[in-house]
Amino acid sequence: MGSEELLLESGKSSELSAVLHTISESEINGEPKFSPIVCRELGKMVVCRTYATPIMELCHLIVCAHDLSPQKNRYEFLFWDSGAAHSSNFRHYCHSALQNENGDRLTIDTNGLQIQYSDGGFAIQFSRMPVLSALMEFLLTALGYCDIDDIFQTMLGGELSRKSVSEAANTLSRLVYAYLREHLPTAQSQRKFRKILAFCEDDVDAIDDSLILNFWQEASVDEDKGVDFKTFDSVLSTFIRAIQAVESARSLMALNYATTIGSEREAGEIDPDFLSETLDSVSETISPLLQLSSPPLDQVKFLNKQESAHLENLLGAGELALRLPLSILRANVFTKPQAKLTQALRRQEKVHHLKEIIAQGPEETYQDRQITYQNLRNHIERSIYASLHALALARSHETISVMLKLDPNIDFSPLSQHLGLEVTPDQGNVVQLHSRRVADHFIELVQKSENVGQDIAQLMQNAQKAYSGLSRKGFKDEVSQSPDLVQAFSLGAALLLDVARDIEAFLERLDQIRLAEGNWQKQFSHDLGVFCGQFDKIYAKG
Amino acid sequence: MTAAIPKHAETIFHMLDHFDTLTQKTNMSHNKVGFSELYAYATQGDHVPTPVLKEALSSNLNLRRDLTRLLHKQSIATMMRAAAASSGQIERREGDGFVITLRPSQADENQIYLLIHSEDRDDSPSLLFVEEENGPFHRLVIEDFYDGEAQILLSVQDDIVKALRKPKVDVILR
Repeated sequence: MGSEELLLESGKSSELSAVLHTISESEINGEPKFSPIVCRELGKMVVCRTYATPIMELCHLIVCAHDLSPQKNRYEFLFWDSGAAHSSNFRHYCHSALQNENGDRLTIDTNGLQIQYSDGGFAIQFSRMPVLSALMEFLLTALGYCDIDDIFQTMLGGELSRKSVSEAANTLSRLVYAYLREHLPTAQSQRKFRKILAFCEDDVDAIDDSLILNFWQEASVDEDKGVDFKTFDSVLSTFIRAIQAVESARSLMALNYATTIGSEREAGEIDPDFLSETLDSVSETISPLLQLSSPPLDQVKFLNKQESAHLENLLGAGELALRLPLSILRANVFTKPQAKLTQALRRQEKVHHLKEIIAQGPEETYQDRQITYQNLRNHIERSIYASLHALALARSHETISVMLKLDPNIDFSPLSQHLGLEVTPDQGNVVQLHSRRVADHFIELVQKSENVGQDIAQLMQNAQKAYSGLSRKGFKDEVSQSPDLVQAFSLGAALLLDVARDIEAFLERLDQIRLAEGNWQKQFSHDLGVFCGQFDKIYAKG
Repeated sequence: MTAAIPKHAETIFHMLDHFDTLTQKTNMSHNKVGFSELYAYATQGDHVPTPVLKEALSSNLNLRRDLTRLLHKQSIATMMRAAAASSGQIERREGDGFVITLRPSQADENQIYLLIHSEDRDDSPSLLFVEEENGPFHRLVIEDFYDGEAQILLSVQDDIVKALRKPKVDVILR
């Protein structure tokens, strides 16, 4: 495939990218309509092509929306007059709307809606509705309202049954298939993958920090217009993806998964569900960041934008951060100056300006970045302790879970004596303290330090101190009055613990690394020369 | 590819690479209009259309078609374009129980009153849309429809006034 065709391909992919960005930027009443985690689910559905089942669910939801609509023959209100796409808003809308609904097809309970047809029923949970709403937005934005509305009107105008809804879903799926076939071209990414494989001589196990740096030095000045390897961070993420792809394919082969592929699939295709699982698996470490910025956890500002940004490269690399630690630091430190150069180039600034930017160098050294990670780790630990105090204030049973996660070896014997329990080494604390009866006592006791022994008292004192020191959103709210806030502190603390462990593991890895230049200061000076020299070749050779 | 690289690796790489490309944060502007924005434009008087939406409604036939469908679904009244034989400026339109009239201001010749009157309807329109043939959409917020009528003072140079005077426009009240 020639460069021109590759550029054309890139244009088609940009159209799809614009659709997804538009959706992620959609606002309603001044807040984002879809949470980051919902947008990610939508992206996953698109790239893994796992849209068939969600489209069927959506068609059933359209029937519900139609039945709940205050105006005849409309279905839009459920999606665009119910506020931001959160489960709680859909629950509220459906409860209110159902009071005015005359038909007998719909029923509602605490989890969702059930719809009864002559040939069977279908249930949709409120927790599923935000993703289905995002899918609806995607269909209408990408394929157009008129074409999609025609399909829905035909479905709603006929005799409704599970079968007729499935037929409408199949028609929609075919439209999406055709759209994605055009807008998810593979030639460009094929070229990227093959270029990387050629460089490491088909041995991804040989990929290390120096190989990545060598590749970037070569490929960033390559005139190949089809594939852009100019920025170091894009090179690093492509290498990470290549390693993950090969490792996942090896697992697939080990599982003999290929044999489960449906006979209708073309040779070489992979079950979309396996692709979806793979994406979840490689995103496991970055996923806490998304969850922390999505409802219900976003009621508490555990991490601000800058803190999240500092963690993105590290967590996005997953386990490979420990294999490619220097590359992670290089990307962290040198991405900013390279971005400045790219922007200056867009503004068509003169070569001497570009050279000035190069001479300025990065704002931080490798040692600075390690201090940033340590500070982040400390902040996260404080946030977990503060969450523990918030949960104790709310007398939530989750206090115990967080306490045990913070210190699994904590001495619970004074407490167990107080509660009249027998704790033996083979009786785990978790089992005993998770019973609601005991937990009720426990929550009362932990707030009186004289009752709970030194370990627990110390833990709770630290928790109170951390809570007092944090004035971010959520930490000063009346937690005992808000079950949502309790949930946010409970889930948030667990996720933050995962993030803290990942940071600790990375810092430990950096301590153990044997640097080619001997120490971090010399390594940074050496790399500064390499990166500035390369920036000069890429951007300021004129 | 050697045996070390299973053939499925490329498929998995495509998926991961597409995911990154499609979901990565970008400062690049794009000209896509989301359906949420179109819906807000069609239904909410306080919605301020973005330049991207305005431009797209002038140039993107599919988006115009989508908006027209949405407006017709929720309209209180529609006044379709005047007969082909009509010529000259139109000062009065009627349809579905509503009458729209343009009446010059006595006090200022540069201003004109747009009168919207309900003949036999209880509905209160809050938005007026004018769709020019092969031209832009115009939207006017009707803030005070009281006792079956609204009186809105506009400049004679206002685009919506010029559009309302043209025979080949559709007018929708919602």
